[in-house]
Formats: sequence, C-alpha cells, structure tokens
Amino acid sequence: MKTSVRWINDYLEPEADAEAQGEALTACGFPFEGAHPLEDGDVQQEIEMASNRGDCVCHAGLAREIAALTGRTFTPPRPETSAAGPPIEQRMAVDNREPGLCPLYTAHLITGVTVGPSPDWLQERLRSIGQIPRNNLVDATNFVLFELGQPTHIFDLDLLEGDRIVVRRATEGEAFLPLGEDTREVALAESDLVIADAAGPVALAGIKGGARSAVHDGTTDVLIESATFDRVTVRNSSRRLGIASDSSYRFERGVHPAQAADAAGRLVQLVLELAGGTLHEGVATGGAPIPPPARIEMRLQRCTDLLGQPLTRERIVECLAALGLDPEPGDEVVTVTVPPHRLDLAEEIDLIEEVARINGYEQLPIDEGMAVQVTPVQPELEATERLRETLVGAGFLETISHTLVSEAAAGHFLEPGREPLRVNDERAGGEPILRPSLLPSLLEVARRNRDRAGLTLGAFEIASVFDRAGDEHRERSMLGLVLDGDHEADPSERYRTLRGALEEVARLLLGDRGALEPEATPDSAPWLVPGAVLRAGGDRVGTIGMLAPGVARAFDARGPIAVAELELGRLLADYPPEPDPRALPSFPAIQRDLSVIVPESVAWEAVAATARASGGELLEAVEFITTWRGAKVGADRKSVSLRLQFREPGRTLRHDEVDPQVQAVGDALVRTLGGTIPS
Amino acid sequence: MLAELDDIERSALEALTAVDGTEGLETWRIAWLGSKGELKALMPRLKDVPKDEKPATGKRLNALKSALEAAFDERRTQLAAVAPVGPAVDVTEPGLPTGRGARHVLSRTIDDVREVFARMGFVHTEGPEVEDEWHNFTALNIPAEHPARDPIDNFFMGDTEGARTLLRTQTSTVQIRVMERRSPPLKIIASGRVYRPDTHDATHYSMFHQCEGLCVDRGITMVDLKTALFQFARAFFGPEAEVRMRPGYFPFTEPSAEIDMKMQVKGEWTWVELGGCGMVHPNVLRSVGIDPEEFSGYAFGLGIERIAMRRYGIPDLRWLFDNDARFLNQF
Repeated sequence: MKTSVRWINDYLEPEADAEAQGEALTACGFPFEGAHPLEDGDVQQEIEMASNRGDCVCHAGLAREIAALTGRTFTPPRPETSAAGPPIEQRMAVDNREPGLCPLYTAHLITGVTVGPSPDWLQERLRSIGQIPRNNLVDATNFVLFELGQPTHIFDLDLLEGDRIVVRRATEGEAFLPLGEDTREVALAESDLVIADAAGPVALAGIKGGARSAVHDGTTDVLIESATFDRVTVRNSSRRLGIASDSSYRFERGVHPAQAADAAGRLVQLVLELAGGTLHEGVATGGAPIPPPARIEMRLQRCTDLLGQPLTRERIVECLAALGLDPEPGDEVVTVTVPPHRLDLAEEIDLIEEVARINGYEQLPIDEGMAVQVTPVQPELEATERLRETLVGAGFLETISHTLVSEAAAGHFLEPGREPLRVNDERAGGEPILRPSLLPSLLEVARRNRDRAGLTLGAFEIASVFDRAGDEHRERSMLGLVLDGDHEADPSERYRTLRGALEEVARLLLGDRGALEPEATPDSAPWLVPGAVLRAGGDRVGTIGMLAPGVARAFDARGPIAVAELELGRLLADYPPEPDPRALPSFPAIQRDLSVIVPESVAWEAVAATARASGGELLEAVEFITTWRGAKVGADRKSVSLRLQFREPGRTLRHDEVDPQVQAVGDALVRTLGGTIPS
Repeated sequence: MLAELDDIERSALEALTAVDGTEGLETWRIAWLGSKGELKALMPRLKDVPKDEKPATGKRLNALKSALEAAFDERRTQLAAVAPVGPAVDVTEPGLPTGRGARHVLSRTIDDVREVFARMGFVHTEGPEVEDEWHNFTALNIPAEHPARDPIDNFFMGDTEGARTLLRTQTSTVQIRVMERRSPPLKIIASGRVYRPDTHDATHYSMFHQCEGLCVDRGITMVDLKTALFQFARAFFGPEAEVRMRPGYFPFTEPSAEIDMKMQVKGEWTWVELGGCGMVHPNVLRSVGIDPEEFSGYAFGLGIERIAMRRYGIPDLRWLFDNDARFLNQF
C-alpha cells in the first residue's frame, strides 16, 4: 500500500519521520519497500501488507502499529456530528435479507449538499498516495477508506427508486452497470450480493457502486452507506466478474461490523464540512446483532515456554496494552479483550505472537550451540549425489526443466496403456501436461543448445515423472539421459557411449558385478527404434535406445540421438552394494581374438552367448572388440570381432591347450548363427 | 714429450669448450680420457722417455689427467644447468577438454544447504509433488474458504471440489506426511519443486525449489529456531553472516517470521530475504494427532533460487531453467 508519512503522523504524538515509520512498520511485519519524496515535502512510502491484517490497510491502522511498537501516542479521529433534519425513516428504510452475508448495513441521510472540488488539504492527502481527487463527495469516501480502512459509498438519493434499500442476492442473469469510465454491463449470479432499490441493483455489495445512482455535479441529497460484507462472497464475486476495487480488497481481508459506525460518523462529518447540507436524524440499519468483543486468555508460562525467552508479567502486559488489547493480568494468565479491528486474534497462540512481535524478534537470544543427535548417512541421498557426480564425470550436463510440458511433446513418450496427468488449463498456458518422461524436456534442451551454440549435448535430469491409468496416478523418480549427435555421428558410437555411462551407473548402484541388462522389447517404449528395456536382477528399471525417426524430427534432430531413462526407486533401494572382493588370479590368461561375419539381425548378445556356451570350462570371459560393416562384408551382414580369454586357476595354460576351444567357438558361431569365419 | 703434453692439454680443453650437449661430452670423454683415448695412447711411449726425464713426465701426465677430469666435471655441471631438450610441445597451447559435464547450480545449492542441516541432525525426507488438498491446505491450517486455495493461484487437477489433487504449492506438505507417519522427536529437512501459476519473467517462474525444515519435540522454542537459522547462516555464508527475523504471516506457523540473512553479494555483506519460518501452529499439530500441549516445534522454508541468484549474482530467474550449457558450465 502507498502511504503518506504526513497522513500517518496525523494520528501520532510525537510524529515519526519517514525513516522511523519505515523501520517501525518493517519491524511490525509490514515491510518498507521504497520511498518517494513528494513536491510538497511529504514522503510517499510503499509498505507491503500482511494478508491477515486487513485492519492495517489504512493510515490510522498503520499509525496504531507504529505507536504500539515505539511507545508513541495514537489518537484516532473522533468525529462529532449533529442531526438537524427530520428522521431518516421518513425517507428511507433498510431491508437486509442476507444478514449472513451482510452482518450490518447502515445508511445516513444528508440533504442539501453542494458538489464541488475538495479543499487543498484533502486533495493533497489523496494525491500523496497516488489518488486523483474527483469532487468533495467522492474524495470524502476515499479519504475515509484510506484513513480507517472501512469502505463506504454515497448514493444520489434522487436517483434511488422507491423508499427502501434492499440487501439481497442477485437473481440469475440480473444486469448491473458499474459506475466508472469504460465500464460494461455485467450479468450477475445468485451467488452475488447486491444493494438494490425498487428498480434493481444499485451496487455490487462491497465491490462497486452502480452507474445509475452515482453522485454527480448536480447531486443535492445523498444516502451514505457504511456496511460490512462477507469476505468470501466479495472475493468470489470480484474474481468471477473481474471487478476489483479498493473496497473489495479490504472486505476480502475482513472488516468487523463494529467499525461501520465510526466510518459512517467520519464520512458524515466530512460531507457536512466539505459539501454542507443537513444531516437527518437517526440511522437506517439492517443486519445481525454485533457480536460482543472476544476475550482470550493467555498463560504466562506458555508464552515463555514457546518463545524460549523469559518475559516478566509486566513486560507481557505492557506489550498487550500497547496494542489496545486491554490486558487484565492474573497470577498465571492474562485475559485480553479483542478490539473489533483485530479479526486475526482468536486464540492463545495469537496473543503469544503479539507479545513476541511487539517485544521484538531481535530480542530473542541465539544459543551458542545446540544439542545434536548424530544421524546415520542416508544411503539414497548419497547414492543420488554420487550418481550426479558420476554422470558429470562421464561428460553429461545436469539440467532442470519445468515439470509441465505441452500435450504434443508429452504425447510421444507415453507408455502403452497409460494416459497423461494434466492440470486444469487455466494458468498453465499451452503446457498443461505433467511430463510422463524426462525425455521431451531433455530433447528440447538439446535442440536449444544445438541451435544457439552448435553444441551436441550430453545431458541428464533427475526428477519425478507422472502418468495415470484411470483415476490412479503414478509419480516416479527418474533419471533421464540424452546424447545428441550431429549429422556425421555414428549411431552405434552414440548408443555405446550412452550405454557406457549407464554401465558406470550400474557399477555405482549395483556394485562390481551388477549390470543393467538390455532386453529388446520394442513395444513398451514406442519412442525408441531400436530400443530395449533395461533390467536389474530381473526387475524392469528403465529403457535405452535410439530416438525413433518420427520423434527425432519433432525435436529437429540433425543426427542420431541416444536416450535412456532409469527408475531410481528400485535402483537406489539396494544402495550401497556390498563389495565382495575376490582373490586375483595367480596364473596368466591366454587371449585369442576371433572375427565372425553374421547377418545384421544377429545381436551381439547372441554371439557372446554362443561363444560362452561352446568355449569349454577354461573359457573365462568373452569380450566385445568391434563391429565392422561395409562392402567387403556384404549387404545386411556385419563382421563382429570378439576376444576369448582362457585361464586354468591352478597353472599356466599352454597355447595348444586352447586351440581346440577356439575352434569349437568358431564352429558354433558358424553353425548356430549362420556366420562365416573370414580366412 | 712435455711440450707435446702441453699441446694435448690445450687441444683437449678447446674441444671441451666446444662441447654443447650431453652426447658431445661423452664423445669427448671417450676421445681423451677413455680406455682407448689420447691419454691412454701416451702410456706405452713413457718407456721411451729418457730416464732422467721420466719422473717429471710421469708427474706431468698425472697432472694432465687430473686437470682434464676436473675440466670434464666442471663442463658437465655447466651443461646440466641448461634445460634438457624434450619432445616438441608448445606449452601455451590450450588444453583439450576432458569431457566433464557440470552440475546444475540449483541441485548443487540444494545439496549444500541440505548438507549443513544434516550436520545439525536434520534427516532428509521427500514427498510427492502431486498432492491432495488435505496435505497442501487443510492440515496446514488453510481452511476451505482461504484465498490461498483460489484456482487462479494453484495448478489443480480434476474438478471435484474436495477430492481434487494439485501440484504442491509448498514443501510444507512433507511436514504433514512425516508427522502423520512418525511421532516426535522429529527433525527433518525436505527439499524439492513447488508450483504456483505465474507469468514467467526475471523474478517469477511457475516452478521453484524450496528447502523446508521441521523440528518437533518437547520444549522446542523460538530461540531454538533462531539458533538453527543462525548456525546455518554462519556455516553456509561465512563467519560474518547474520540472521534477522521479521514478523510475517503464514497460516501454518505462529508466531511467524520472515527470514533475512546477511550474506555476501558480489563482495558486499547485504541483507537478503530468504524465506519464512515460525513455530508450528497448534492447529497443524492437532491435525496430525500431536498434542500441542505436550510437543512444540518450529518450521522454516528457504528459497533455493533466491539463495543461488543472490550468491552468484544471477539477474534473471529464467536462466536457471533455460539449461544453456554455456551458462551452466560457469558454476
């Protein structure tokens, strides 16, 4: 809220300069956000409001806080008016049909006013907070609003039809034209509360007056409204109709019916002073009985126990008294009477906060040390951190992207049988889908880096992914990886580089002998061609493969892109793997290399499995060396080179002992895989 | 022969001066002092020297050998002082990239924050990002008609009032989940993504990260809260860091406070608003079946983006989610 330093000082003794006001309000919980010196020597300040303190969205309210904190004297305005005209009942009655939504409606009548410009002091006050002066009647309501925080409204009596003000719900579709420039007629709903005369709504309760009954230059007789409206009703109508005002802002934060009379008195006094006229006797009212002030007890010991700072009863009473809470100290409890403007005070804890706040949070001591229960290292936390470091070490960039993606981007990455999880579109723009996979984000990042800087990126992200089947949704912690390739990149190289990184991950999470086994099941991840499901100890934990051409095109790929995703829940569960070190072999191994030309459709795993099955007992390991493709090998065929390692644990092997095994492996590859051994 | 020895000495020393490398030095040594060198070749001729000249010539020959050996040692020392010639490498050429990637500045910041609180005994916990209204609002003392529940300020899913789920708006939801499962004493830290609809600009983004702390036990006070935050500030931002608490309002804590920490921003110690905190509201404790008369607690939430942006002088929030390698590699 914009404040005027001079205006706040109207209620303070002694006055507080701009800096003192800013400091005090910040310390009270209303942070100072900036100051602008004004031409007339006043200072306009920007003060942040607290959403539970509607009573402070005005100058008198802020002055009251400054006084409580700094020991100054706060003097609210005390209007005095005298009525000379015949009783208001002769002209107007109030028929409040919704006391639940409008706890109190009051109307005063003044006749014979003269509309004209406001005096300089009033124009100055309004200008100091950025308001534009209109005429003495409108300015007076604005002044009362920014002084006391109670919205009021002035109707031109001659423009009201009939002899009664009715507070009622709108009828469905009822038309209402708000006052003001460039306004449009709106259609009301039954949930809206209106102030109506015999001809229809003349105000949208607590939000906006109507154009039909607004005061104008020729207005002579006025009806002054000071009322209280239900905050939820005001908020809902304001939001739904898109009409917000300084009035609705305050009602949404809560205004107590006991405040209506003070504001009405102040406004009547100002109108008589500024526009002349005669106040008629009495007030037309309608509503529920004003509830008596609440009384709350606070245990002194409880206050000390919660703050951790011993405060004397005298100090506690002093803090509560400074806020006008009228504390009555007993031996163990203090009882306060809550003034109507403090709608936020309802229970003991609220008073403890007030004591702490006025005593000052800066007065709370800080202990030199603290007692600490040493907690064990958390394995999944350590695993995640080491996982990140491992991937960074392997050359991958860690990224963080928004969880929400577009329908089109998400659509490529849904598992068969799963549906996307979607937020209501209202504020999500074009990106309402909770991503079912990290890949759309990573591919977007790859594209961005490719386009901007010509980088072919290796990137990863660790985050949750979401999807649903019917009403049941899944939220899984996932690691996603993408390895971009330019147009010259070798797809196998991209794939094997990515798989190499995953093997490091497997070694970290599953241990020396752990592995992520790829198993080609093309249907479960249609965005991969070719692709594989990764299994750890039989459980499905992720996918790996090359991005399908159609999907790659959607992300403007220039070359082959290898991608993978791992579900971290299962993988982190067994961390840390228990090392099981073996003794190193005492005798050397013999290694033999072998190449075999096989059809393209024969997977390396088939070659390795055939070799392992036919190599005999001495065969210790089968290692991949390389794959060659080309004219010499022939179309749809590839040459696979492998290394066989033989060892006898108890002695050194002779070469002639492994010759038959190598021969047997070669024969098996030819026989079972349709291979040929190049001479 | 004595005159000849003088010539030999002169020639040998001249040759030694001309030597300019380890290899030449060895060649010289073999030529003059080696087993088939010049001096050795003189030995057989000694028997031909007249008898009376023999002692002087022998003495001279020994002196010559010593002189050449001394000169050799000296020259070797001189040459050793000169840098040896290595492979042709220009040491000013730029390094080849090792291919190392980079951690994201936000995930690094979260780890750093969590690590300090772990040292204080806070156990890390996680919770779901898709939440129900009970955990995101009701249990946190945000009643049905509270403005915080307005659809305009939340990413709701589905439309059945009361049974709706939403993307959590704060990590305080994890407090509730932990307290529902476990009894005090509790000392946890939870970090993660939270979501609030917003138009993206330099200081607003509809997703951000919070780090949330909760401590519930018998006799927990606001002094304990201030102490924990102070210890964090000193450990995280350095020995000159300070903590300031200002009154604030959050439905789930009371008394509530805004947290300011004095940290170094581009070399200057500056107050920065980093989050909110307070004593857990009795209604929150009641909602999870903990008796507020027996137990009390404090909670705090720190904004990770804010810490990272102020710490490193990042002017635009969107840079953090843009994932440009050229930006992320700077950390």
